[in-house]
Amino acid sequence: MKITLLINQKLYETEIRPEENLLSTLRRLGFLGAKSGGCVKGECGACTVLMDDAPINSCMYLALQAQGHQLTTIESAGQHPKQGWKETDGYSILQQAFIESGSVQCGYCTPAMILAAKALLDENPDPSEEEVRDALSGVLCRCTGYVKPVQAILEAAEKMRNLTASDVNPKDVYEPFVYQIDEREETQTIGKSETKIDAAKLAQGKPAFTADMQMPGQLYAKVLRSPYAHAWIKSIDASAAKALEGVAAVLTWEDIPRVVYSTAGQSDPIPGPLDMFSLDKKVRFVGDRVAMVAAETPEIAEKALTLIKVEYEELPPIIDVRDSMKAGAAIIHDEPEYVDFADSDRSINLAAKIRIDINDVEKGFAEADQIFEQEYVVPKVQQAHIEPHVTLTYWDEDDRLVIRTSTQVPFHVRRMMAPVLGLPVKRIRVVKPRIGGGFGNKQEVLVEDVAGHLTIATGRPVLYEMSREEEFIASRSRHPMRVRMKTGIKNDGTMTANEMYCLSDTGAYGCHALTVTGNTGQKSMGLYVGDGEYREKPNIRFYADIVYTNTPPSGAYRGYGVPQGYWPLDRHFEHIARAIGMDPIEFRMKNALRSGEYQPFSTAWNEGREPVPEIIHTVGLDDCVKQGKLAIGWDEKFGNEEWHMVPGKPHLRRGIGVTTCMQGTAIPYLDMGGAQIKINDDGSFNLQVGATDLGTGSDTVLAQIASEVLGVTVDDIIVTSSDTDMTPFDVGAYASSTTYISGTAVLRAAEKVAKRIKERATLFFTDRGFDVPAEEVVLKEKHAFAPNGEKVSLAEIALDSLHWRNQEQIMASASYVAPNSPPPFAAQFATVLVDIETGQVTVEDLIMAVDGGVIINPIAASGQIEGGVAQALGYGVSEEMVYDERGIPRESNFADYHIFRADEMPNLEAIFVETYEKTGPFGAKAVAEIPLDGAAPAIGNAVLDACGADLLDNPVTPEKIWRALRN
Amino acid sequence: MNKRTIQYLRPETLGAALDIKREFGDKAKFLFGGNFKPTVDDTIEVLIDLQNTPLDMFVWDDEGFHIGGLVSLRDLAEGLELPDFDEALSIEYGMNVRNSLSITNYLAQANGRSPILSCLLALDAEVFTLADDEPMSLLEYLRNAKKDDFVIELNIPGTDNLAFESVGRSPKDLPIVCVAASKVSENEICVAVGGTAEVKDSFTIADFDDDGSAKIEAAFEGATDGWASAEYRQDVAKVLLSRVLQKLQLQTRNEE
Repeated sequence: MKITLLINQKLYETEIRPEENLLSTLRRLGFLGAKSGGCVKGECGACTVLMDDAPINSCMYLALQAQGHQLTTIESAGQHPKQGWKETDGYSILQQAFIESGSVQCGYCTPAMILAAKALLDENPDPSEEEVRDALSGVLCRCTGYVKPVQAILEAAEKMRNLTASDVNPKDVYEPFVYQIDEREETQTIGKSETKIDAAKLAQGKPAFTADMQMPGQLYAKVLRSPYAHAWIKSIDASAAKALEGVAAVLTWEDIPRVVYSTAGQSDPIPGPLDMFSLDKKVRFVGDRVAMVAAETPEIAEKALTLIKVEYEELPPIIDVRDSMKAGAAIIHDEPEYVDFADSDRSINLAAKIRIDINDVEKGFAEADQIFEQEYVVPKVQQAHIEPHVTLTYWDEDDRLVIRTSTQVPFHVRRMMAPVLGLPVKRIRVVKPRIGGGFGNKQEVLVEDVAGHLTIATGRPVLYEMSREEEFIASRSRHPMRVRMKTGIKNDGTMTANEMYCLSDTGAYGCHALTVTGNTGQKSMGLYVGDGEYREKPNIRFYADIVYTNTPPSGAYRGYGVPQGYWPLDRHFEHIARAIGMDPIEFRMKNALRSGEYQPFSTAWNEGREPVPEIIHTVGLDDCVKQGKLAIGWDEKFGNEEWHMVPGKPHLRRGIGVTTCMQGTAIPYLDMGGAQIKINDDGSFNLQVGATDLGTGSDTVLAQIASEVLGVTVDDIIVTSSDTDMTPFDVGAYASSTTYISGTAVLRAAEKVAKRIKERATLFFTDRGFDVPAEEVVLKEKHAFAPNGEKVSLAEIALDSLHWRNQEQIMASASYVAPNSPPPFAAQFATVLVDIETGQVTVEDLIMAVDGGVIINPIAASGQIEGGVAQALGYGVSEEMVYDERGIPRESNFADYHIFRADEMPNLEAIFVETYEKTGPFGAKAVAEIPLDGAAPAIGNAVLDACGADLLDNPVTPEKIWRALRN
Repeated sequence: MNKRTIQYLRPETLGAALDIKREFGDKAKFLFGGNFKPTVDDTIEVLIDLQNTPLDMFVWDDEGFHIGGLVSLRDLAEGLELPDFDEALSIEYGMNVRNSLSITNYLAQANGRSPILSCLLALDAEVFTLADDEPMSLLEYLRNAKKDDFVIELNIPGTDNLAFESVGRSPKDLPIVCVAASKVSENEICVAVGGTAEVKDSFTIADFDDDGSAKIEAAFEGATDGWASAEYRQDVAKVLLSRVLQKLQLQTRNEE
């Protein structure tokens, strides 16, 4: 059918399918700023456009319905001010505010937020913060916690009203507070909030993401999923589906090679069992794969799924983790191809086992005055990145399979997919475009094999994008656990021994089973060693059984097991402190790790590899506590009865809570990153890294490191990340490793390039009649300076080296694997308001003070903290995935699985306490994961403080509080 | 692959739309504005888009509000000017859905977890549907409507008061339990409850001296599901009702 649409004041005539929604049509016409979030109830808002000046979800209209209406997309907003010889009006004020404020993280929802803001400001040029938040309420963002977007819109509104240049540097408005406790060297760009190098393209809605590329002849994949939690597939009849017009391929387990693998994107060898097939004759959870289809349109593929007839033989499912190892329980993995991992035992549904004893726990318990024991429960939760898993595969002209995919681990994808697809590594090229959020879920290799198999079957490009329902029922999630704590304490508050046992639910497959749960103990219990003599010989025991159930697999989620550790550990410590009548902060700090002490777990465990004892040198925890206390007003609130009451509202109580926490920075002796730098004719540089920026700002941070060494501005560094053909190896974005590991690789490569530039600069100085040793040349301001002030530009040096004399390409590569893992530390504070009649809890403030070493880009880093704390807020109060006795999920969309919207956020604040970590690039450690650790227990502690409701299960939902108060 | 042909029509009146529907029967499908996941089945040959008909009306007269099915939820809230309705709406949907979703399509998929629905039930709303010339109560429509019998008009008596209270896991999470009430006549306060998938009967209480606790407890009898227990809902609903009645009393006193 032919229709005409008015888009951005211009008429477009186009042929459509009647069932095509407006989003699909707009994207087909090249308006790719409108994104698909895969949702079905308009919850995510990624597809926002303006219809007659109002923000709407373009997925909620047929394209036909939009005829006669005025549509506005992000492409109308503004563009780069200089397009070669053509000058434009530049970015809009709103776009500029988003770019400057650090509002653009993954950038997937950025166009939607800018359009929603535009609609508001066009109607109301002077909105309140509440009105701004309401305007953003239709767009879910999982990265920012909405702090910076709200600031940006308010700033833009002011600017639009005044239309005058301000003396205030716009960035000053957005800068976080940085409290410096260690001296560090003078730097040009390190420590400055450089604008993110990818912000402009994302604020324009440029086609940066996987699905933004559309190939001629492209097919669309869909996957048929199991309705049963545990069953044999007795038969599959795909003949009707294959016969459907427009269907190019239907694959079942009978059609493809049976190759066992793990979806966990980790280094070789995978530290876990190999227990999965692309398609199998057994299904192990509701949502497990049964068949895959490729068709000319998504709708035909959907219809084909309904035509596949499957006969199942149901098996008894295991849903409750406590049943997995019981005698007589069904065996979930009885396939002969299963590859055991150390300490896994599938005959009892055990995917992995951990037994760590540090010193003598029993002796510690014997020396204690009191023993505290308790069991805690933490839920399964979802990463909920707004861009779903998505991949596009095609054969290139050399018969190599190109996998363009939204992944955190492109090099692992290539290595792991090779055997699954029956190709050698060298015939696979993985290209990582922009990632619309991942948070660990895209450390899983979940979709690449589906599209890959279908491209092999059809010879055609195949796009596979998971729906939001598939994300909930068939991707990965945080491991739920039951955790038993036992702690020995002397009357003066000294911890004499600490024991944790985790029963961890890996779901139907054992991806990340060992390593996630290992971190649960390592990075939470590792924070507390005891005091006095116990500091040298802390008594710690961490045991875990990681078992299979017939629920969707768990996996990597930002924080990687550590948030599961801090809920039981910190809630337990709160109980202990209160029971022995000690100030809860004083109790924690008395027993916490201090500078110069061993990370106790480093002596005993290292993610399935040999442990290497490590002394921790930078511990800013004490100052984190001090700064956090000041910011939240701890001394005025804690223990102040008057503050806890709300005048005129006797049913409300206020409470305040704290959690201290520690994360890790990369995996020592394992995580490796590479970098390559070359100079261009104009003195700019190409920086090629295998690291994957999934919205964190790591490309910018790496560019800052390179620019600092090379004496240029950040915009002189052109970053390419990442492409397995073009960029050096990197393990990828996980374990808070990119700044520390890839950053050091960049630092080393830049130092090599700088050395060569300086050597070539001396030739110019000799030409001018004086000799300067290369080591005395300084690179700054895009020039090489001699000690006497003479200078030569990098452009001249580049031209000289590339064209004039003794030609060479000045370039260097370097890689880095660390012997250390210097942990970041943080103090998380929370205040809450509890309705003691209903149990409703409202979180009012979340303030986190973080020691992440030197903060290379404060605005970007604070965005990491704010966004991470927002995710942790959900973990604390609203997010959980629940299954009935048949394994049917309660949550399959964002209506039931509620993530916080802009119009309900508490006050979020990030503070940095800057230590100088000598092993890190320019003193940096990490910040990406630690914000996930503290909010939930701090909220739990605040609820206890408010009303005495002492919850052992996370999240703190109204009924649990109500019950606790009644009991 | 064969290209599919289909007729897309935008009649100017409802009568004309119904004529087309009568002509094509099941092969014709109405389009009532924005909807979740709009689809067009293979069997459909005619799409009747009602956006040019007067179903976007918002009329107030002596009998109250008469609101066309194509009115968006945002326009509904702005027209009613009831702050507690705004609150319920903002809990259920963010701005984009409020702008996109029509009343017709909202009601076609609403269930008892919807706070908007609780408010509409408390407001004693009636609906006209395509299939029936006579108005029916909203509750009756929700209970008995046949597939493809869509609401074309929502009628709300001229009530200018509404109180709403809810409990969820976060301020904008769908409620686990919610209560809405409106003083619909001199001696009648209409109370509706929500938070469970099943739509509960609304009930009336005579005046502010009646705490309605027995009725509201009965409404949540056996209402245990994956989100909350009946015991919790019964207890908390009583608290919410008492707060709602206080609010309502304040509202009506202010009016006086």
